[in-house]
Amino acid sequence: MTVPLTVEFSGGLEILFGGERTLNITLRPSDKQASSTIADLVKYLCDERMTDKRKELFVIEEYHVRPGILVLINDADWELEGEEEYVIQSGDQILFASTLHGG
Amino acid sequence: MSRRAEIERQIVKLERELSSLPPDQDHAVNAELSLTEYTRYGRQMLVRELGKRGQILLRKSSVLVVGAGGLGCPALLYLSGAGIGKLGIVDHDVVSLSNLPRQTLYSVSAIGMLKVDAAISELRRRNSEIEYVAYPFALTSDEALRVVDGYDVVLDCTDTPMSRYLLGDVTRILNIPLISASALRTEAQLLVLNRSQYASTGPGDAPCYRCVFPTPPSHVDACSDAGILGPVVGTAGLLQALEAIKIIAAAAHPELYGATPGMLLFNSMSDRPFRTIRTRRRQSSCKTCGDNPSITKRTFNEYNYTEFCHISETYPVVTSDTITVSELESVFKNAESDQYYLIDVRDSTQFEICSLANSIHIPLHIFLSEKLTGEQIAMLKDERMNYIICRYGNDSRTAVKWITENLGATQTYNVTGGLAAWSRKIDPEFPEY
Repeated sequence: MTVPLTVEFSGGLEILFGGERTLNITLRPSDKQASSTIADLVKYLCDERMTDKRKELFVIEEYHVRPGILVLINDADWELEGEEEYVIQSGDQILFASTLHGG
Repeated sequence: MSRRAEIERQIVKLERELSSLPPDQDHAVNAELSLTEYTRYGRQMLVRELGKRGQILLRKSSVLVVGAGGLGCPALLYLSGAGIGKLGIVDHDVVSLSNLPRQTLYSVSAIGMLKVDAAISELRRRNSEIEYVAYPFALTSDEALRVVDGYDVVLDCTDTPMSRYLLGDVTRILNIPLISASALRTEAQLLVLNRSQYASTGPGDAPCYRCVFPTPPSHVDACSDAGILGPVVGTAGLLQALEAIKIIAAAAHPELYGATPGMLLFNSMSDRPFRTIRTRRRQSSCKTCGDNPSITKRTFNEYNYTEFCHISETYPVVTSDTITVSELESVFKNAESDQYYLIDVRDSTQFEICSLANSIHIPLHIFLSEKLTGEQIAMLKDERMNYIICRYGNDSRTAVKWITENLGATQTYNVTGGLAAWSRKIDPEFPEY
């Protein structure tokens, strides 16, 4: 089953994705799976949508979101929703926000 | 024992006894406001959520503002304006010209002064009824407990992960609400930590800074590199002042106050500029406030924040293939212009601010996203020298590495120190921004 969702970037991460702050995506689960998780989405974003080659600014250790990036699922910290294991629902809004440190 | 030693011993004993007593509150709580205070604070006392009782609470409260920059200045301006009894300011830095667009407490005549001194002198002109305390140093784990202890609310207006973790830990250990803010480019973030309810005196299930960010970031952009708009960081500073006022005044009208907002994201370029985020709650695994904390009042001094926040060097280190700005100047003077290319790899925004007249613009992301045109590749590979320049010499180093690895052996050199070094050492008329 394919799921349409919105992905947003902030805190400078948009630079890694061709300057796009919002991507409308239709995610197709891989063969063996019935659904897609945040982990699948992160891999898809790295492999298919990232225009900048500096992957380490988004993920570490293959496809894990690097420390310093907040992942928000429908305006809630992904920790509340199961982090990488969260199963993406149709219409979800996923925000990747780099934490800022300037002051 | 000599008489002198005896008296000194008594002093120590009495001071210890004094510091263990709760402050004398009756006088402050019951004291009526002065006539000028009624006039000065009348408008805000008319607001039900503050009222006269809230105003008296503000007067007997103390707020510590750590960092007197783009966040700290507007926050201090409004905290002092609102009549907070005591304001502590921590900052080791001096005022510079590039601070003035957003650090609203400073004027041209303050350039070179310590920020804490310049800030207090400006604040005193506006409200001299307040006690101001200057801490003209960078907060370290040696000093932090002593400085922070006793304040009712702390604002984190600093600009590095290290100071943010340090303040996060020390405020949680001392059970003080922390209002943390940060800003970059067109965005800002605000977090209310250590309190989940405005009117509560303890953290409840509220997270501390380390609960929300257990691992330090592996990459950080600074305002001096990525840029910042004054009103963006100012907005965040004002929100910090507002949250501090609410936390203090809530005790006067607890029925009017509910839960704290957790985290607020402000993106001035979005069609939904303000967003409130549901943050995680206190984490049982947290090193500071979890079930088995390892960072406590006793162990705090030994914790190495520098090591913990070590930001890995993301730039490749290339030692050869470099040229200094002085050497570049002699190239300009002695070589024919068809013997080399000067390639500026900064982004378009920076290139528009200023550039060297003979430079060709190819932003770094064009290299890294492999979008070079055939023409550009041919140019980079031809027999002419390539001198690659950026603002400080970091992005250009990345570009040199990319060119060497992807286009094979070309005569490509990184201009060390970049355009900043060019303005300082060769051409003082070339702008530094």
